Amino acid sequence: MSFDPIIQVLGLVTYYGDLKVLDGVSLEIPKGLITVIAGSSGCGKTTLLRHMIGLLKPVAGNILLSGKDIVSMSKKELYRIRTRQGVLFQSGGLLNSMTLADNVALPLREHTELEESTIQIMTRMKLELVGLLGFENFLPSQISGGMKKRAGLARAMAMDPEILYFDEPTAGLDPVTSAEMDQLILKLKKTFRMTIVAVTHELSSIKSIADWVVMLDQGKVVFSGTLEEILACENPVVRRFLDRKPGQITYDSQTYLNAITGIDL
Amino acid sequence: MISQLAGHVGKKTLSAMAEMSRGSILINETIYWLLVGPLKRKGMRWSNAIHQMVLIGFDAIPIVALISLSVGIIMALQAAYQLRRVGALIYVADLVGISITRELGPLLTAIILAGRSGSAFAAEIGSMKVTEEVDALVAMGLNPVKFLVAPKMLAIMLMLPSLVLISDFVGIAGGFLVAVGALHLNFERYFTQTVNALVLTDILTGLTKGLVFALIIGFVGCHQGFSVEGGAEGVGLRTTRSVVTGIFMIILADCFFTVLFYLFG
Repeated sequence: MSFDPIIQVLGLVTYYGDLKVLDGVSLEIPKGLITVIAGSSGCGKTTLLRHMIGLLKPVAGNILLSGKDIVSMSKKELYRIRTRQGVLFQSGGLLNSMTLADNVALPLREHTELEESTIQIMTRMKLELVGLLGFENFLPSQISGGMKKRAGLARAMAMDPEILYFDEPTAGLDPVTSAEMDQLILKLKKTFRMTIVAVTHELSSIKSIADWVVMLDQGKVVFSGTLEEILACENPVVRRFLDRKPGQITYDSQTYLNAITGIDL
Repeated sequence: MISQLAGHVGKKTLSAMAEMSRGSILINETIYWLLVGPLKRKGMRWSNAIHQMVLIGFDAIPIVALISLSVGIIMALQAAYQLRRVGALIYVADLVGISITRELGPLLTAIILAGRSGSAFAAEIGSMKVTEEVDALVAMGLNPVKFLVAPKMLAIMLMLPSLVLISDFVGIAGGFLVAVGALHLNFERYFTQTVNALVLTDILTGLTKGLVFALIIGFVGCHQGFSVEGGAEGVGLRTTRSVVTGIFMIILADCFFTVLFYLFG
């Protein structure tokens, strides 16, 4: 499949302390499609996402967004670019001191010169889109986890972004709400033709939303291709993930002894 | 052993330098938003600044007044104990007036605000960091310094000196109560004595100190908030540190200013 990449990640390397989290990650995100970055917990997928939205700076490597490198970009330019992208955080990332309506209206109030009445109508439109009309005056603490995510999504959508990022969109949600979230993501892609990047490890989610899948394992890209391709992939790491097989932990007695005693015997 | 020690010293130095660099970036950006923000459209969140003024200033009036009154009374009684022996009881007025306006008013107010507001800044920003709210702000293209720090700084810079004036007034009134009630000094004589003893410089000195203390409390509180790592424990740790570091730095600064004003004032 050939496509028009909107984001290109080139040789990304990053550390947390002494731990190498991303080890030369290179990938491309196709424009106008849903890309899922998959992988088991701790493989560095959330870290990768945080680099792509410019929250973290890598030790080495580049991230090109529509051909422009965001790693070497000035803070000011980065802030301008961020108004054209939306991010849904794992826990929604809502400001707890504000009502849902104020949360959704916040980017509009801060970034645009729209009339207050227009902003309110737009806010209600976005809340309607995620099925939260009628909850305008609720505080984030008064609603459930699934609703928080949907409200976070309404806010991420507020500025009609070109790219929408999701960090674990269905983590911690019950199966029904998860399925609804997936439907919502598909609806957004169909209605607004936006590029969507989702980080997730939920197999059912991947199968229902992904057009393009990138799989990470221990800080490296092990697979990238279409959904059909990954389902047919023979790579053992990919197979283990898809077939939900536990990883074989192989120890010889000497390393085991060293590991539990903490001494190099 | 030696290499371990060197490694330890090196690590500590690096982390201290990193903290200092983060602190100076914070100061830099805050000064930018305090100076440039009000001139720009949507550069300063005025409604939030006013809300902060109520929390920092108005709500602290009772506690500041009560403590200042008590200290005024204590000062007058202690002064009387000494001055009675030399038959100069009327100089209680000078002693109370000058020490309250130049020293105790600003110092007490600052210590109260370090405990009330500095800790609140650290806890608020810290818990927002833990719940990804700060990241969400950045991802929305909103500068957290402009959004969170600038209104707080503006509010505390106006409110601390205002509270110092209240503290001065109430503290002197406390001395007054003792002088007239317990020491049987003449009401009018004590009043005239106080007015004659005080010059405008005394009050201005106190207000200058107040402004400097406000900067210290604000920066320390916000910096500690942004330094939170981990979860609730991190918030607790940094909140405590904001109060301890705040009070320590206030007293250091007070010492410096008192020496400076003594030599040149």
